[in-house]
Amino acid sequence: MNVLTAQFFNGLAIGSIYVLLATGFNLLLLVARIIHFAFPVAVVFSMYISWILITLTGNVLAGIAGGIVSAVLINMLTAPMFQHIMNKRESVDINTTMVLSMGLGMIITDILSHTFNQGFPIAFPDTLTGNDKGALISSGLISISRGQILTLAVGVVFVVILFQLLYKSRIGRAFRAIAEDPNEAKLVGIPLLKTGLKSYALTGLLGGVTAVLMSVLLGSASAGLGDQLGHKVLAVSIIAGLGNLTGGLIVGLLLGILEALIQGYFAGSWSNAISFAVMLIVILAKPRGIFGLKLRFQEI
Amino acid sequence: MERNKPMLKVRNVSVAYGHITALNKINLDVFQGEIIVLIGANGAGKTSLMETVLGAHVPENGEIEFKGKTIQGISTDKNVRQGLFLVPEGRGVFSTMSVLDNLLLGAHHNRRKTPEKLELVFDYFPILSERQTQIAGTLSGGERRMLALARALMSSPDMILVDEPSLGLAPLVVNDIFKILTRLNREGYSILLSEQNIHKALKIAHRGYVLETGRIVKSGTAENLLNDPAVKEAYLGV
Repeated sequence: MNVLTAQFFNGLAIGSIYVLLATGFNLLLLVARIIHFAFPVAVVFSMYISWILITLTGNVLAGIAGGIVSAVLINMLTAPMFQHIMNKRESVDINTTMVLSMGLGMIITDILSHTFNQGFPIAFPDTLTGNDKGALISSGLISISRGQILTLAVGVVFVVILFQLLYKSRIGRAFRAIAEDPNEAKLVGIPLLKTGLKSYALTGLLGGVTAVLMSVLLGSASAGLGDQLGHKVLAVSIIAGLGNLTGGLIVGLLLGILEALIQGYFAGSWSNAISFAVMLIVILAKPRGIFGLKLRFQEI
Repeated sequence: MERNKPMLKVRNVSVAYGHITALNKINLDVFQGEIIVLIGANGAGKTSLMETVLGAHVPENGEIEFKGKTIQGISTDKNVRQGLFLVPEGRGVFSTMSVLDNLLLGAHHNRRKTPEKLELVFDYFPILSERQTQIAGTLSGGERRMLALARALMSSPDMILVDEPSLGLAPLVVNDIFKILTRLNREGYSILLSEQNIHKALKIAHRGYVLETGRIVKSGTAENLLNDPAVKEAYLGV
């Protein structure tokens, strides 16, 4: 029972990370109309930027700010490339954007594995993770870290803010209009590229916050982490139903809990293989995703 | 109502999609306060013409003027800001969004006096007032068409392009739609209307143009067109 509770909390925390990443991925898919496979890779890159700044300045706040700025910048700087394709979407397939994004991801991963810290995994100092202060709550086998609580709390706050923005604001309304039908949105006067650019900025911010949370929660990062997360986020989004934000919330949390339970009860090193096996079975049973597709490709 | 001030001027406009010519040297005028009807079969170019005026397609050549300003090549959102609004054919509304959200989308660029505009719209369409929170996809076909028209009003347009408003609707609902179009016109909106229900459209219009395979083959006052033997034979089935 103790293991169950402990792993449940572990799972919720890591699940929150999946939720944030899947939400960013889905927003880019719905509003910017791109398949940004490398979105999580850019987030891991921002973790590295955070780490460098903390190492250089010794200032945790500088690292946090740097990580967030980095994620927003990567999104905004690569946006013109994707928007070029979006602009030609009547003659170009959306998968083109995935190839572009994968290329971008490989370049970033290679940069991480060759330059920063000579390619070795990086470790964040206790001043950021708070691990030196020990667990926040500790009872028997159960111990809940500051990072876990922080991740869960910030995750919940951000998802709530995001949904408020989507459903209660002018820009959110424009986002949803493009998500439903970009051509109709254009006809009622929504500027597709300009509104799309706002979604790059928003998801960049989301990615930056996720980078900081991951630094605190995991305490370390390696060059391969981005690709691993990329696969998981793509899997979560497809299993939930591409473009289905609420579905992404649920499946992201479930994946986190599933992984944590596998780690708690079986061999931890098998958690990727087992959770992907489970996801394979789910997608075979529900090819359109558990909660249904929200994006029809012929309308992109 | 002053009816000699030009609202929309289309001169020699041609549009092609790849090798297919959709519009061929179109000339058309809409003066302030007029209802102009575009007559033509499916594929004649009515929708292409409206979308080109709105800025969704860039003409190969020719010139479009709206309120005295050249607008060809200008993006759709800028034209909407200038006071043009299209009520598209077909679904016409965002079916996953609420009635209120659909209306507010119309006011995306022109947010001033939104509460007053909502009041005005609900005066035209009382049914929408009762259904503000309902998801647009659950409305009937007629209600959706009303919502699309109402959304146009929310943008405070000078000119409304209405594409096939009666398509697929029951005769009684069609009557309602035409009554509303007449009322809108009386209150000062210029309207460019494309219709296959020619008899009804010409009854409320001032003038009309007949489109065939991307060309204007005939134009004139609504009365003349209604009595034109060729129009009668081709479009009224008389």
